[in-house]
Amino acid sequence: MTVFPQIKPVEFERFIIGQNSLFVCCEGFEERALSFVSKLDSKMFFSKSIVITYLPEKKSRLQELLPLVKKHSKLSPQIISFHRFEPQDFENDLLLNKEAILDGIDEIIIDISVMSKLMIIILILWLSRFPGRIRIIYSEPMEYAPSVDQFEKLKLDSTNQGWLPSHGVHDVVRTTLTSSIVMQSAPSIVIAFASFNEQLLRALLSVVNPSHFFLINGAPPHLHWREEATQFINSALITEYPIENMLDEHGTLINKVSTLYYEETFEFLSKLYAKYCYSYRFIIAPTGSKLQALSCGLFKICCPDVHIEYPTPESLNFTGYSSPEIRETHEIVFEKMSDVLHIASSKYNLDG
Amino acid sequence: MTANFIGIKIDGYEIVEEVGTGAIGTVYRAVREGDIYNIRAIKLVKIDNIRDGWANEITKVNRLERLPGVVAYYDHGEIPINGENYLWIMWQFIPGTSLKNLILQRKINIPIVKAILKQILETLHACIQVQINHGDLHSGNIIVEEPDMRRISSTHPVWVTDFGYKASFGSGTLDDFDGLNRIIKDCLEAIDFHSLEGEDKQAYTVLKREFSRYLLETNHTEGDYVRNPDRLIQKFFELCEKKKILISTAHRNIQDYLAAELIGDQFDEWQKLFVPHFLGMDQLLGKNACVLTGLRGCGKTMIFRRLTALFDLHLGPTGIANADTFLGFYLNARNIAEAFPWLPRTKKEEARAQVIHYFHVSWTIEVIKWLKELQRRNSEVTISWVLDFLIKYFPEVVVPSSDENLIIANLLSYLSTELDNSRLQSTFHEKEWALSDYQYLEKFFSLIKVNLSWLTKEAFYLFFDDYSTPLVKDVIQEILNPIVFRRSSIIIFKVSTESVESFVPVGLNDKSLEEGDDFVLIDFGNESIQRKRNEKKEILAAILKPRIDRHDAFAPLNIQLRDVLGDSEHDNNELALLLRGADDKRKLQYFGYDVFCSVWSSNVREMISLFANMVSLADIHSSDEVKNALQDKQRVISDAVQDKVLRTAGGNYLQLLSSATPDTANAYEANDYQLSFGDHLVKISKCFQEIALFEIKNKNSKNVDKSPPKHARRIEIKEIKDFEKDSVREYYKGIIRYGVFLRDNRGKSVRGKAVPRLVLRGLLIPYFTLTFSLRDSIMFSWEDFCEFLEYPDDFARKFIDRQMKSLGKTDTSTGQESLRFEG
Repeated sequence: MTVFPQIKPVEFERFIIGQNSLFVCCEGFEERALSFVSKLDSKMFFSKSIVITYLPEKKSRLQELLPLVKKHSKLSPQIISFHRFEPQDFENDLLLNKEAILDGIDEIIIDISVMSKLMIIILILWLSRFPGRIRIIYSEPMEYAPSVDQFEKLKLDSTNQGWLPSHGVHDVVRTTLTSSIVMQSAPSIVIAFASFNEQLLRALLSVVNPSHFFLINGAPPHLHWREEATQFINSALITEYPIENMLDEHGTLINKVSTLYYEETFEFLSKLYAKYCYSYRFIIAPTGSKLQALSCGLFKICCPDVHIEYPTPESLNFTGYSSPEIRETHEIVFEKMSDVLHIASSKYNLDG
Repeated sequence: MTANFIGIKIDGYEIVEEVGTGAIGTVYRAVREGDIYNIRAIKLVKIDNIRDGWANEITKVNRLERLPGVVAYYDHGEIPINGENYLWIMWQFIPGTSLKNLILQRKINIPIVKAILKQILETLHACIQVQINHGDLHSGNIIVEEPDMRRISSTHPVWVTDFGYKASFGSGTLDDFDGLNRIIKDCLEAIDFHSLEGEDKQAYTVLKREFSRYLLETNHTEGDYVRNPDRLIQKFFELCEKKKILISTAHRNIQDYLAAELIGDQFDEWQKLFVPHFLGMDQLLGKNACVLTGLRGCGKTMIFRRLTALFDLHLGPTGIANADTFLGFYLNARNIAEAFPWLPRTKKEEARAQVIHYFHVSWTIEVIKWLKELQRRNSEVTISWVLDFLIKYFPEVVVPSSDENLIIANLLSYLSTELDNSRLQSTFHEKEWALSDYQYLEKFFSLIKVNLSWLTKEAFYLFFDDYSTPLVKDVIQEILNPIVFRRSSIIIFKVSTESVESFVPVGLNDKSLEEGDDFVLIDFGNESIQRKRNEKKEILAAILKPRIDRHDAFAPLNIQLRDVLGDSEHDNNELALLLRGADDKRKLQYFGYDVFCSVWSSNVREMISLFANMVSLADIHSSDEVKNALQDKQRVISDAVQDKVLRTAGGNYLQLLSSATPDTANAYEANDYQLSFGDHLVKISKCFQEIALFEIKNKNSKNVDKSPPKHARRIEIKEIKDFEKDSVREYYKGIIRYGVFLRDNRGKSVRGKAVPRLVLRGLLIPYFTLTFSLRDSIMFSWEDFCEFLEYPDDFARKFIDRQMKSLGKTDTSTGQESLRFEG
């Protein structure tokens, strides 16, 4: 039986928001940054809104996003910066202004569609004790970079990486909310998610030197070829850590979870944790999808002893990162997140 | 109403204070008239409230007389107070607090729970022997004693008190095992599972989910543990041990455990794989503060961890000369970095005490872990002095037992919590951090020397690993350096850092730390360049020998690295001539023992992988196969296989280099898709290759009579200035930090300033088809060097054009062959 609220398509014609709502979204450079808010009924107003901007400043949809958010917000949107390489500043902003931001709010709607994975985690950790309703919005694009053709070319010529969504590694970062110092002297297990940027994991491993490395492949609900593609990209790592990353009879990585159905990620992490938390330190690198990152955040709330490290890409490929067409806008509603996580902790024996 | 009893005298004792209230009575502290040290506990119960069988409590306690941990009975009687009659019972007074209060104050931890569990089960064992029960076990009836200054040890024994009034054994009274189970549950509710370390986590889960099944079982046919306190204690520890599940490792392989972290605590593997030979050994073991640098995988962590006292306990002495003169402890600086992930320069002063406190608590934990193992092996070693020392800094610490094991477990648990409390939460706390004194470690280690005088060690070496930016921020290094590089005859720090560029040489009052004066710099990369070839070969052969013995085909033959690889065919000059003449450089092959050892630029991990890959590609199945090859004077691993592995490794290294990250987070600007920082470092490497190949083809060495081709793998900069651009400095740091080039500190002196030469990493030589010779250099002006770093794409062509012009050859389009110098 499922513990977590299901991810469901948003029915915009029936979509309503509470009286005291806070809307949190992010500028991004993809067109889908505008998707959710532009589809809202014109008579719908959030009590407050926050627009998160990225630093260093790059290509952005802020000029288009801001008027849209203003149109749906009773108060002028508050702008908070997220520095990709100094995320602690963002976390400090949230922590220092928590009372003011959440004052009078009983519903928070977070559009994670174009949020950095670390940003999603910090937001979730920041809201771990929020007693009201939390609604997660995710606009799933029809296509992402790379396309099948681009990937086939890449397979033939590994230097032709211009179509990959991200490239290089800037740094491996952590914040006070994502860190843990428990069991630092124990051997560590790193759990990371396969992506198209293998360098991220290489950089991570060179920083943390784990005893064991579990790579979780992502199974997308629609673009199935990507599962094989990400396994191909990360095949060297799978070979280097064969015990943890077993293949089935078809040569497919057994460690895999949906990129969309976030409970699968939570369940995978939980099973590993319940078995090995006594002997190993757990380090998670949320390098997969945004909803997998959401799960990592929820998992970290349940297991504060888990340490999160995030390798930040050095550059993003703006062109064709995701298609303007949206396949579906999804929503997850946590009526009271702490209650859900309490049940999840008991179900998966995460509390000892 | 309570106040009415204060001052009342009973049997020569005066009531002075209320200490607790129960369902039917109240307990007071009473002092003997004229003797304030003679204290009793007096329980007063109104006669009207007395229940049948009240005297059973006294009977039960009398039957347990002299049993440790059971409060003694003295006397009882009746007394009228304010017109009411009261029963008084006089007990031994235990200064302390009830477990209930400890739970409410959340001052409970797993070692305390274990001590309580043990004490109660021991008492229940005695009860069973004399056929009584307690009958009213709950957390309010357990007293944890305050430390007693009369005792040497500052411990807090556990006492069982307030036995129930129901008389008979098992006659419908509150079941004692139920009572104990409830006490455990109450305790666990006050403990956060996620803050616990491994052993405590195991105990928590066992107590929460498994132990109660055994504790509450009443059917004796289920096992000998049923209602058997002695067996239940054993059962508890057995269950804890089962929780320790390790991920199984594969079949023994040459390249198992390429990093110390992978071996973890498998001491048998440490015994097999650690080799007491390494570069810079004498300097490292000298009585000076050291900064040790070397490529990733050079074995720094393995050496540091193996040189610790804890490992000596597990494995015996290392066999390294002079290693018996010190006692080593290990800490990874990563622990500090993770505790303070954010520390801007503006917060440095605010953070200083907190960071130092954290640092000192971390070292204290490491020492206590060693003491724990020492005590486990030698029960005569007393360690209560540690508690007495630490209690001055942490007066609130509660140790409910004089059992040395429990003292240690409790201290570890307490200090782990302290560590968690002192890490950066959201802001720095400018409070009195107990261990923020710069001299704390000296005081602590002096005490060890005094209390364990039989150790006869001259000094304590503190091996502080991974002290590297950007992970360990420069501000953290600036805060800790005054402790790390403090001159002391007791403690000497040995610091490892990724490269000279990842260590911030700033000490007390921001004064520069000088190499030679303040620390000895040991650069494994530099050592690998400067050491005699034979010495290097010996070390490498020794390191690989246990690896060779892990392979089924080699193990029975007791063979050496040289036997497996065979001799190399060409020296560097011959190789350079071949390279100059070769139409297709791929036809040239790199193989043999000399070549293999020449590849070594201090990275041990890399060499083990190379060797393992060669063996794997050679597809060797049996020892007969190897024996026959050796008898026939054939190579065990063919030239082609060796060459392929060596060349592929260089390519793989460059591929990994593309994931390199800059040292300073904001020095490199991220953009829409463009070359990453790592890609740029790859370009620099390839630029050097182009220039070096040009020189082999077209220039001769001036240094020797025969004028062989100039075969340079080294850059020599004519003068050194400051980098004008941050990005160029980052590239320089990058090529050093990621080991594209090694610094050869024998660089010549320019205007009194030593300018290190940069030597290309050995692993890249076969891939770039160069030679390993260290004779020649490629000369760069400072401006050339900066341009080389900043614009590697264009620089090679410009540099080569300039060289050609200076040689009177201007036609670049005809190719390099026409430009070759003769003789």
